[in-house]
Amino acid sequence: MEYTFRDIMNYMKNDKEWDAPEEVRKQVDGLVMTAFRL
Amino acid sequence: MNITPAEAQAKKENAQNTFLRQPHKWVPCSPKIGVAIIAYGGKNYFDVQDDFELLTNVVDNVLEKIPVDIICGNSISINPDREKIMDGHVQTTLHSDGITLEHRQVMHMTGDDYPALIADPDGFVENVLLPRKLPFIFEEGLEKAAKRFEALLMSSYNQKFHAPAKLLPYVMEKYAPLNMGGGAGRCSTPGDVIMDAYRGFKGTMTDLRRHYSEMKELADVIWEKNMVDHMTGYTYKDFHFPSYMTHIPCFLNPKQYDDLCFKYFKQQIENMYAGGGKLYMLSEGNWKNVIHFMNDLPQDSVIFNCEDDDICEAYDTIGAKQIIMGGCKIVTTRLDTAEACKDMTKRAIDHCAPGNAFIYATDKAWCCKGDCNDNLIEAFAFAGEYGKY
Repeated sequence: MEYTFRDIMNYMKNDKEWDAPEEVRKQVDGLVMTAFRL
Repeated sequence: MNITPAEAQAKKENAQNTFLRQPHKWVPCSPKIGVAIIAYGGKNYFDVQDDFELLTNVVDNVLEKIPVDIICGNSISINPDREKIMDGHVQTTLHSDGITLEHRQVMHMTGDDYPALIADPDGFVENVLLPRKLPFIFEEGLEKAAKRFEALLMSSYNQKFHAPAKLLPYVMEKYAPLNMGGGAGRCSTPGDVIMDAYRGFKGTMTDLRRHYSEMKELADVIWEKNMVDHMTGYTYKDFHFPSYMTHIPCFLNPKQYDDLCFKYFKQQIENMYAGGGKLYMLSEGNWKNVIHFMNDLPQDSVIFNCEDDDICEAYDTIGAKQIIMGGCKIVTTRLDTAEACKDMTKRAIDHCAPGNAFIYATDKAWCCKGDCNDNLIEAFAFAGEYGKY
């Protein structure tokens, strides 16, 4: 597969099927460190 | 039965005077509200996750027997769904006993990676370390990977609807302790970040000998990029303080501690202190090599919770400058007699209380089955009586 982590984040930001509150959507911006620290 | 307003006020004043090193009426006790309390009640996390009445029953069964003067938030907060969502690729997992959190440290940076990380920290994490850590998310397809992270974020969000999230307001109303946790700011040091996020224990211990100049260079980069303003611009009211769980200091000699931690830490503390704050510090391990650095910080700016240090020696070294917390070793409560636990408590109070800035607490969090036990409850109850000035 040819995609980056940034592509995953962009997909989430534009995913209209994702029924998430705004405060959760905002967390996508910090997802790199969230994933790295898992 | 809830505490009366007069009792609540007396508790608050007593705790506040301890933080201010003013005369007060009794040594405040600080139980660490953790999952071991659930185990003591014969239950596990899954039993109480959605049953608030059961959760409060097991918590009351302990807290009603001991003084609850000061707490630092609520440590009964677990997200067992994360592990399933990430197919087990998480560092903290919940043991099958439903109580014990297990830490699996798997690091993905090597000693040769320092130059690349120093040159571009964000890019190196995103484009090199993250694919090393979670290779499957770059192989399963974009949509599946995105849905996985959507589920991950939602699982964290949904934690606030579970019973443990409602426990803190309940404890505050029923027992009226001073909750010193929750203060603004994030305190850590570059040395801790290098060990926790990048190199792990084994890698860090090797790098201290083989990559020391690069470690110092990386520490500067981490500080300038991510930490320099973490404790700046806040004002602290109502005795809510930031927390710092130290990891690397106990493994360092004084020069290493100064280079990788203290020179940055001191700036953070001075910034925080300017806003009226103090730092709650769970000082992991034995600090005998570096504890004296605490004397170079502002008066009573640190609440130093001793872990492996002898509480009396710590008091002798820094007790005139910083607030000392501890005195109850969980291992003693687990393995020794009730009488030995009382002696341990007596020794700590006799030695440390006269300075007017001592808080009785355990050395470690109550996080494993057996950490909360009859001896522990008896030791705290004894401290409540014996600690009256």
